[in-house]
Amino acid sequence: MSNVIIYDPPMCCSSGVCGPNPDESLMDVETMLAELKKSSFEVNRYLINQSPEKFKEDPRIIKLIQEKQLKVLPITVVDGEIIKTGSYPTIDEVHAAKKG
Amino acid sequence: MATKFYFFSGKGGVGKTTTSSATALNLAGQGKKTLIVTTDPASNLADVFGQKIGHDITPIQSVDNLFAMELDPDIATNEYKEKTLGPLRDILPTESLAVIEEQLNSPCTAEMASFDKFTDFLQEGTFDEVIFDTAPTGHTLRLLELPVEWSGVIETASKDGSSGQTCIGPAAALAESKEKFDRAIEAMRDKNTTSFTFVLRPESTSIQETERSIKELQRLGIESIELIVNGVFPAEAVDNPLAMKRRQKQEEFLRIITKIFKADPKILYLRSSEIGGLTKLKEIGEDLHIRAQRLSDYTFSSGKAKTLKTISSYPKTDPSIVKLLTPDPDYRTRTIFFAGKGGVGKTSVSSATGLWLAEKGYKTLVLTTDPASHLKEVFGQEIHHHPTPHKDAPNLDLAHIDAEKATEEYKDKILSQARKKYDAERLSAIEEELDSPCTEEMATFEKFMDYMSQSEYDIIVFDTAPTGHTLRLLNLPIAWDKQLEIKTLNQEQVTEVDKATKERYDKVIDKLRDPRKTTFSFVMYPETTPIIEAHRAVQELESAGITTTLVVANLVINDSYATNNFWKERRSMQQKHLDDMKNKFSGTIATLDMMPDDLNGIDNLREAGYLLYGKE
Repeated sequence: MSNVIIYDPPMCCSSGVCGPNPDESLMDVETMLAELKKSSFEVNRYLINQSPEKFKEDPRIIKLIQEKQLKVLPITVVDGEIIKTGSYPTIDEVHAAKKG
Repeated sequence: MATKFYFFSGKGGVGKTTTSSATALNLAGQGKKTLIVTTDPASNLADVFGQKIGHDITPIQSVDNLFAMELDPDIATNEYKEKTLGPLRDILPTESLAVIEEQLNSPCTAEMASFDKFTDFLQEGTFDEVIFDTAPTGHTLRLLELPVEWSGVIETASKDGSSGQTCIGPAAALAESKEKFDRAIEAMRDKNTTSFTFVLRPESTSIQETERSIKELQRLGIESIELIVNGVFPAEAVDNPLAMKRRQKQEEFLRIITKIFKADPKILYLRSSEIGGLTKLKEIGEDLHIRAQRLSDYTFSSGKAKTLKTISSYPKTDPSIVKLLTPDPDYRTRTIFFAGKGGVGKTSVSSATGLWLAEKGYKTLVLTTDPASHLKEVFGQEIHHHPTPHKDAPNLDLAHIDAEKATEEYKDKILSQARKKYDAERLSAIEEELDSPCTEEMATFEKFMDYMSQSEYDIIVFDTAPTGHTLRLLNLPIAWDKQLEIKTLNQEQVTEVDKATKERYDKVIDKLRDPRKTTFSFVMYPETTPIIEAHRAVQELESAGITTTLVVANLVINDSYATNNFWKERRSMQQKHLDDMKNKFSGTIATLDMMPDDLNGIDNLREAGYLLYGKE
């Protein structure tokens, strides 16, 4: 099974329906992740303000933030490889990156 | 031995802190290791014990075995934030850390942090007895609901096919928190572990609020509830017509209490002086736990009090007060807030003020933000989420912010937008995500912002919830404004919607800070704790750029009623505090005499309006 990890910037809630206005781009990301789960991807999402320990587990992520500050987030990792930084990937980009 | 928990709850000003501290003294006196925790952000516990307490468990110097702690939402938030920031501190650049820290100042974190700390105390610990002196009802019911709600949110998000995400983190990482919440819920529901005591006064509003709260607790699975009726007139106080009239009222309500509640309440009598110092507190502890008198033992007086004519004369209308209450010539509307400690008469004063202004010809809305409001009882008509006209008074509308209705409106708004774009399966996931305690607070706040931005009414009078809750509400526009700023830091392009929202928030913040548009007023009795609490809150508002311009002293005993030692003592105690108020507050002071009846119904409210602001 392929897996996707998204490392998110600090925010209240990744659902997009939290805070003063619903955030459509975040709602679209959630929709994409739901699709990926259906095509049997394992999906994990970590917000830096909620799961700092997950960020620490991957030295590559910490290094990127040290170099480029938080605007390097979100970072997408597919099957162990960083495929995108600074914005969310499209579903095609994720499929293209999967191994096996 | 397993830890026992005691909750003292009730409407503001009924004597929760007094009865809970007296109980704590009593238990500590029996040699039990006792902790008293206050969850009221505007607590008076430190004043009661005459020493600094704060957010750490602190030994009470003059009492063996007794410890106290004041749950401070700000410090709880910092501790909670540190759980995230700590692991990152040495490895991330300071600039990034600063942004994360700002994000963690989100209002959601603050509520979560206080509640998390609260559930920590509901675990087995090193104390024999843990006593919770809670904030006034509305706030406390929410605190008790949160473990149940968050436990549910985590459970839903853990199910197959769910996002696995909650507003407070990935469900998988929260298994431990869920266990903690579940243990807290179990402890609260077990009557051998936890006892709930409601403190009430023999008054209609206090009885109704207790009745409603008991139903809410039953909904949470909490069945065993005890009662204390506080402030009953002792025989020696009843020798003048005002006292007789008031006691007759009290006894009507004591009869109602006997009829509607299952428990046989304990009784505490009104004292001629304030409850300060440990000796008096110890006496009350004994009154409650050693020589407790039950309502079933109370001897009702016979005979009827004579009808009473008001002897008070109305003050001359003060143009400076009129200026504070009516729209400024340069602006369309005026917003008036009445704030203060629970039970000081905010609803009565707001209602009387609203009626006085409506009868002067201003289109006025009296709006309550208190989830435990008794506006309905005061006006004798149903109060709705949408403003409805008062049945007899032209120009006067009434409304309350109903959290459930506001949440529905907010959800509908978001779902109707989402419906245009997403399929049914995705929609049900969004609906699930909206089912979080965060949504409720956001929705209520949005409704408040709508009213703050309105121009339909000449005047809106806000009858607010007790101090702690209100300070938080007033701080929300500033806090969310800041969150929108952080969001724009992380984005290349700011969305139009976010820009519009920020402008709207900025306008409201301006309005709150401009005394030509908004009047802040604190209501208090001329007694130590309400004055201290108001004074603290005034300073806190000041630091947010909000000035208090009006102060109302309520329940002032008219000299003509100070007929015996009991009342003379109380009257001179009040005078001392009235003088103190003049030193402490820079705004105009209005006074309202103690009236023979509860302030219910349009005639009493009109009379109160005249007593406050004059008649012509």
